[in-house]
Amino acid sequence: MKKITALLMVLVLVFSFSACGNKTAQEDASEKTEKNDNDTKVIKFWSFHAGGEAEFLENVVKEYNASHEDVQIEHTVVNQSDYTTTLIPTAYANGEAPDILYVEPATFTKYAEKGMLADLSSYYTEELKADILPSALDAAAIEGKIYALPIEMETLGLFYNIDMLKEAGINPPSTWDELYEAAKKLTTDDVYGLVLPVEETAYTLFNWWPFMWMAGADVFAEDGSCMVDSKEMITALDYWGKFYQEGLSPSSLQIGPWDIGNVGTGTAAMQVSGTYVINAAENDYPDVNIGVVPLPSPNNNSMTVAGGQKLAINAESEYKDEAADFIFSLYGSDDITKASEWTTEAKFAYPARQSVIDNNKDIFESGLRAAFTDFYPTAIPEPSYPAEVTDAMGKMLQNVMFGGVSSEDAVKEAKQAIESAMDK
Amino acid sequence: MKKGNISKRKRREYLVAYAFILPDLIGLAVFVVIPIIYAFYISFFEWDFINEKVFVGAANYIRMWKDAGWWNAMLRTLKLTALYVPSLFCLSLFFAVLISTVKSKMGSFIKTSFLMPFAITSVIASTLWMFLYNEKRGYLNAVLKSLGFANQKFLGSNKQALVCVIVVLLWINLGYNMILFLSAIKDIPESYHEAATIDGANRWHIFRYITFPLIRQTSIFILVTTTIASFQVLDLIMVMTKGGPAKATEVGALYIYDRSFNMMEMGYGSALSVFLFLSLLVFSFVQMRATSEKEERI
Amino acid sequence: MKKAPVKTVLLALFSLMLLFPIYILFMSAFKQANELFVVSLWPEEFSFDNLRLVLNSKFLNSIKNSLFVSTTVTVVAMILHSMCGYALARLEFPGKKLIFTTIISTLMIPTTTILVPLFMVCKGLGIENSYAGLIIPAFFNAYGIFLFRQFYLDFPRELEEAAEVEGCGKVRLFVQIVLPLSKPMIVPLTIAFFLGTWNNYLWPLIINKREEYQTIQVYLANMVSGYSTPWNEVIATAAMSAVPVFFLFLLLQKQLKEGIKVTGIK
Repeated sequence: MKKITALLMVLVLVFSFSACGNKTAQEDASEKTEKNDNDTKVIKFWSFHAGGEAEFLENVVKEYNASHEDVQIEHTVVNQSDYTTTLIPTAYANGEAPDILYVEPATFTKYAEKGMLADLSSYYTEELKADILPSALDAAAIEGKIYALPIEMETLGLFYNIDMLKEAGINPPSTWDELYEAAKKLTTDDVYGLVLPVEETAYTLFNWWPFMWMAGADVFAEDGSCMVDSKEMITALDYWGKFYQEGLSPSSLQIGPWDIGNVGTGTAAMQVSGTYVINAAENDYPDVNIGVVPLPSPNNNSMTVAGGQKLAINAESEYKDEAADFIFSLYGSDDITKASEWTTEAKFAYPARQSVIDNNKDIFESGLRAAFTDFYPTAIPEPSYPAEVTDAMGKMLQNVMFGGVSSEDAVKEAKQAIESAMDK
Repeated sequence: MKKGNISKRKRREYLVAYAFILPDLIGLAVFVVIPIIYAFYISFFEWDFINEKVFVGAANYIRMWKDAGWWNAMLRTLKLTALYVPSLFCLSLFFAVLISTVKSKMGSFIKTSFLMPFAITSVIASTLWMFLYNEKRGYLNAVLKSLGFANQKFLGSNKQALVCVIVVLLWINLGYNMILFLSAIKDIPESYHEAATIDGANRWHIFRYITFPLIRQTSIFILVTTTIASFQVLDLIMVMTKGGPAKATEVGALYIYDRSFNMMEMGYGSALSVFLFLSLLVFSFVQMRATSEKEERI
Repeated sequence: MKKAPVKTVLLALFSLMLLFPIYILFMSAFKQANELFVVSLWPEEFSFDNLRLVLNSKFLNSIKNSLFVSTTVTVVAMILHSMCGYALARLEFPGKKLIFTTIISTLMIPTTTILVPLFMVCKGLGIENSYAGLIIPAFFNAYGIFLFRQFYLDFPRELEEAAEVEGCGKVRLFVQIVLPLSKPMIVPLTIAFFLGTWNNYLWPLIINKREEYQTIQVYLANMVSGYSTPWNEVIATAAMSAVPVFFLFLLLQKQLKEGIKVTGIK
């Protein structure tokens, strides 16, 4: 017993020293390379992508590094949900934030208003500004200054199991009533009629916005006042809440609501999801006939929401120019091969630039993509609200979905919360 | 002369004692106490991770006082604790007493089986239990259905969700705490039990007057550590419900996490943590006081 | 004690109930993606495909890292905390009560709150993105100190008193008599430290971004990312990641069987 303890202690000490040693060796190594190439600038780039998207990023980073001696991109992949919650804020707090990061509507305004993002206006050429879709450019700007580079637009549609609907004699719904009736008919002991998001997250709000807009409601009016308690909002809430209250939509999900597996594995007949799952629908569930139609609307006014990631540069970065050079060379240059590749091969999404759409017409017309291309013009950019507003809206939805609260009461509570936050 | 000898010995004992506790003390000071002091410090500022910290005095604490969301979250934490801690305590003690009388290979199989769930880390356990709790395609509902019951919503029901989380916590921690009790029970000499039985005591008497008092230290330990853990449950809830449905599982720890990182209000989050910390401190010491004997055995 | 077969049977049944979810986990690892969400007790198409996909070098590397980190923490923590716990239980020194109170209270702060300052401390020490950053902060956890202290409080004094009468110094007493008799503590403590470290997710996520040091929980979490999660791979990875821990339990099973009594050894 004593011998083993002694042996273990020795092993541990050896390991500890070698671990520390490793670290110093590496520090030496990287210091050496830094000292040798005095001007080698290391640019930290954090992403959270997987699959084809990760491959694309790996390749472009490699290519860039190979062709630039003085600038090296250090690419790290982290987990998506932690990326937006814990990792970026703590990294900033510790002075460890990457030079290049992704932002999305849920985080863009938050970060830009806090001064975390660098002003990129000077890197935009006039041609680029003209090429980028106006709504995409608007979404990346605050008070005339552009703080991000749009790279994609992801829109929502209604995915459904073609065979299931056919068997039940239902046509793909196009009105709110049809959607409700279809969901009701298709819900059985084993199957949910419609999968909508469940948790109190930015993604749930992303799905909610088009429903809210189609009912004629919105959070703020043109004059900036809060109109969350409008009649139309109550209508929208009543409609949205019905699905959960009547068990047509699940109250808890094992796999994400975006995951096309909901329809693909037969657990649901329909689900709201976006362009980002088209590749998965084709590759992971080739035997299931999946179709997509625009989101059903109450007044023949189908709309959808356009979200998607943008690239931004850390306002505290020492190498803003170099970082900008990298990201603009990919998505903002005259050579649109990489920008096209991103939205057609690495993943499927709508590009933020007209020229890319024009140049890849054949891709945008194939399979499920064609449906999205048709209703793409109705896409309204995902709004980017301050955290207090999204918090209030998220809570409002939860109250109606699961809290047994009436829509009237829920909107009142939300209005109070938003107005007091706006007063600050 | 004698006095001089004693104090020299005492002094040596002090030195030995300090030497024994020094590595841990230093480590704790650097890696735990300093961060905690920092958290106390930050609670008097407004800080969003990025910009300069703004001193706001007691504003965060005043805000906390008025924050209904926070008090609801703390209430849920208390509810969780009130349900979880006694259940875990009683169940692990109950099974420990039962198993202590089972010898043979069966005993070892049972002990190992009880312990297995502890090997399943909370992230995996959450994913796994979501398979069980799934409303239409879940194993639990499949069993319930075969027994003639209706499908339960489990994690999707704001009435059941918290209990569902507690069940998973129990599943994970039962075996381990049972082993702790077992070790303590095994320390009681057989002769005590034998003597009592000869005197005509039945099993309950033996437990109440012999076993239970003699495992006091372990009982206190399990009570206190389980309570502390219960106030800090986060991982399970993050994966299974994210605080939903409709905040039914939004406990204090989750509220703090959300405010600190999502809303990027680290100062406020720290103030809430200080409150949680202080309330746990009071709670634990009340617990320890209440369970200590007249002898100075805290 | 009377051996009641009924009791044993009931206990065995309950054990099986506890094991059921674990069975589901492992059984599902052999299911193809299309059956994964079907409620069944055995895959229709038993397949090793998932395992083949999952047991890749990145996974194995993260297992290796977790093993290294958890083992080191366990061994060192045992040494440190047994000393500290013993001193708190048996030795007299000024400030003992205050020190004990402070030590216990360190358990009461939520991890999220100290994430940022702890990172700053580690950065100051230069141990971020390294094994040291993963290992060293994990040593100092009051849980182990508390546990050892309670254990030593119950320790029969007769042995120590006998040794003292014979003029044995405190240190020798601890090393040669007390430590060897601390065996009953080894099982719960090894499990607690090893698993506590193995289970750790948030801290390794923050302190380390280098893939080569990635631990298994972070690896697992990274699999569930983005829009298309390969659930069959995730389940298989989760199941496989529990295997090293099961091995540890089997190793410790011998200790479990014996449950050495401290009293009676004179």
